[in-house]
Amino acid sequence: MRIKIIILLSLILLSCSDKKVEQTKQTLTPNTELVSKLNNSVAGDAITISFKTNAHTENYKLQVKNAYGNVLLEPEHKDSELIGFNIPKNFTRIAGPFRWRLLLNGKTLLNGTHTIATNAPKATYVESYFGPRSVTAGYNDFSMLTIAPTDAYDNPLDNGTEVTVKYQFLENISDLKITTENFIAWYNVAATLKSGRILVTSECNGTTSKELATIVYPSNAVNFSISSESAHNYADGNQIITFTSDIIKDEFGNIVTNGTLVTFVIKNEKDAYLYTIGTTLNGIAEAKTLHPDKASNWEIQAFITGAAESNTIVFNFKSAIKDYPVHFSKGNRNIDIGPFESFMKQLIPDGLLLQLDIYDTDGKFIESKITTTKDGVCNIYLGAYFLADGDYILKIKAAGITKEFTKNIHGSTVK
Amino acid sequence: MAVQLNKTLYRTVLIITFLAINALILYGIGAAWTFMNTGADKTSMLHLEVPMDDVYKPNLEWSNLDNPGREMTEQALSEITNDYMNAWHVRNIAFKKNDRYGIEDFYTDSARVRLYDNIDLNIKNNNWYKRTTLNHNSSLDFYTADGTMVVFKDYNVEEYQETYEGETLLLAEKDTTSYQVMMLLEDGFWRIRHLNEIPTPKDTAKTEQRNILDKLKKVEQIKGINYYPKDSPWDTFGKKFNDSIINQDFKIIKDMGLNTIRVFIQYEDFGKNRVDDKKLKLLKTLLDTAEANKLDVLITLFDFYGDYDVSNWTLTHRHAETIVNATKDHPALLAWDIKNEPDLDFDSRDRQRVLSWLDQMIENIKKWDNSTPITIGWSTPEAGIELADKVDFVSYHYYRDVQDFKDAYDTLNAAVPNKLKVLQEYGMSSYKGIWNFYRGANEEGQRDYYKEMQPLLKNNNIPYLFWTLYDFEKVPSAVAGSLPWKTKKQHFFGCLDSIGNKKPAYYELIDLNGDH
Repeated sequence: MRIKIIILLSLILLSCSDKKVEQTKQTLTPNTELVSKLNNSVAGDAITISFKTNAHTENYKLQVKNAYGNVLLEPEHKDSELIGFNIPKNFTRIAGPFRWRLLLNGKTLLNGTHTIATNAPKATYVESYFGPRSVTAGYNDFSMLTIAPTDAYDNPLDNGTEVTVKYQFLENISDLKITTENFIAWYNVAATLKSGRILVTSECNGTTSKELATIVYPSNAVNFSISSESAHNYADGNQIITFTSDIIKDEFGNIVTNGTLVTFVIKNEKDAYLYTIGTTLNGIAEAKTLHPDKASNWEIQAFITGAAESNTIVFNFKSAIKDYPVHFSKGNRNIDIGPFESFMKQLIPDGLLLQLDIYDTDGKFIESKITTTKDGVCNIYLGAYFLADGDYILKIKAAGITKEFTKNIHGSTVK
Repeated sequence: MAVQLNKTLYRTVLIITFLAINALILYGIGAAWTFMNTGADKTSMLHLEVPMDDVYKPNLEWSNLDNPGREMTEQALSEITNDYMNAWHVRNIAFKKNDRYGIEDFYTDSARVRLYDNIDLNIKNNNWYKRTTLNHNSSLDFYTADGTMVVFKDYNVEEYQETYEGETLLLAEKDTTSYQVMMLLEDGFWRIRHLNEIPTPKDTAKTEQRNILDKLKKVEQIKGINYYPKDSPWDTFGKKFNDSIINQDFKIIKDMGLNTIRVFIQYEDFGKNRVDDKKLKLLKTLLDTAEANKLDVLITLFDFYGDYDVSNWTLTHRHAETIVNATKDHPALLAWDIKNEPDLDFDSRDRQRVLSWLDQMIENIKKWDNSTPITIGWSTPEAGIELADKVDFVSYHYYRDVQDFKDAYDTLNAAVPNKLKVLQEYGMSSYKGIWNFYRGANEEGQRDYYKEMQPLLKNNNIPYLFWTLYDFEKVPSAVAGSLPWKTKKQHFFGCLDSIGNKKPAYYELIDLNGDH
């Protein structure tokens, strides 16, 4: 027990002990002298920084710092009066200055700077960037070619390095010489008036870059003309009418890019608008729509939004249905309309819209019934639950023809 | 039978006593440990993931954006700046931990190889580096037409670096370097492609002459008080901030014949690197109120900050910069006190680390504000010699015996003869109770303390700020922990009690002669 208490007490005492401030030892600074007077080299060359010292056994360190980082070196050899530090490869390969500091026990004894030059003769690599990768034909647009040549160790070459730029369009190949500044040489390749591809390449110290391209797209379309085509001009609600543009081009005669959207706007005699859309293929846009089901006069104009418009053309539709019979039965509650016959006495296609408006004898509107034709005819049944016995005015509208009847509706026949 | 029972009883008692003693010891060690760490920023232990925009904020200014390529937009520039700073940050971290983490996000393939080689070398040599940059002045050279490459120069990059071998700090150095940088936009990141050191242009901008003599004269005349409102001690600018209460208190202080107050700005409370505008407004209100009452204000920055780590220097810079720039022209501002009692962190945070942080902070505040003196509130007169050549006047605290004060003061005076010295905190608690075994001073004892102290200060022309106006009902646990025998006396340092009645000491502290 006593031992335990003693141990505990000593533990407590220990935990109370304070940290002593370490007294820095006064040591004599040994005489140290820089031996290597050379303070510049070329990237990739081995560098050794040597010092003459009278205390070569001391714990010397060399701190080396360049743009990317630091390293702390131990002397390679320190058996004689000389101590030497070999700068590691990844430092000798990075061009630019590096600073060194000779340290002994955390004190800087000597410091200096060593400058490493780029090593273009050993090898040159060319990195090039070209963009934007597509431009518009004309006088304004351009792609910028940026060339960043580096030496064998990925150091950007010095300002003023000559770079040859070559670019090709159709039969023309041009080349010119530019010089680097701020790591890069650059040249703006102007867009051509004709659409196509411009290829560029560059060369520096005999090394060529890969091929880069920009696509010259046609400029905006200019005004164009359109035409219309259909099998007949009867308003049968069935035939398809086709609108076609001529070959749409830009101001420099380039056919506009495939897929350019062309909107055909149709205005009828009641100033109602319809529209249909087509996209260009080889400059030609085509759009289709159905014939109307009653006589109409259409004015058609096409637009490429924000860029161009066409002439206005006219298309007149004749009525396809001249007349249609209406037959009442079952106390006038059953109305059979049709058959509807088209321009060749053929039955019209299904789906013609027919509207029946019912008024009382004072002309007060009661109700509308809408139906469509099937197999050339249609039928409306006005049940007793729907319309009480009495006199009514019935107006039937179909294919642009309106027929009016006054009928006495009676009976409660179930259909 | 009885003997056996007795034996068991003895055993039980012994075992229980043993366990109880052990528990007490463990608790004691724990409490000691907590005490050693008070004042430190506890979040620093957690190594929390912090959002990218809040980790590295050195000062960066673009001086030139003209270039023959493409017009620079604000949006693109802020993205480039951000990623460039991130590139520095990940590199600093990589060299600190010798870990490749994050490098590939901000360096292109060919550039990152260079860093990897360097890191491998440092691992091999068992070296690591703490680095930060403090200042960048960038100038755009080129921005390509398609906006995917940028070349710029970064002049006068102030770098601070500590070299470590194993755990020993070998070298701390600060230098100014200029770089030329090429960055490429690759999958949404601006990455460094080339980084070259270029010659640093001669700094032609003349540093503005500092003009602090007027304020130093005022410092010489300080008769002041460390101020906290009575209901929100250690939280002046918190939810309970009330300008009419502050106004009343300032009137009391003025009526006592004092001319200066010392207030504290907490690092986290004010929003760390993004200083809260609302808090700044409260600070201005306080300064306005002080001005109205003809009181000067000594502002202590970085209260409750305790990290000092190189990796968040830049954040503390932004904090100080905002506060300094917002208040430097206020007529009530007397001086900047960078940190309260930083020497208490010497043991837990390393002396050198604390001193380097203080040193560069002084330098920066001098840069932002050339008309306000700077000081550091050391906890003892002995610590006052630290950085004495850097501060404009030396501040120290004294809570020991009155008898020893003169000696301590003379020692400091001899060590730092050419600087003004301010007794920035002193005082006596009037707590005498069970928690200090009735050994402390009572209210009369407190009065006697001041009765002895005040003439001493006056005879030696020592500027003073005593601690404090009120007795506090609540003292936050961050100040002195939560153990009653430690915190109890913190409640009773006032010259007024917690409801505002004058304690005997009050009459010793009023000084109605000689206004300055």
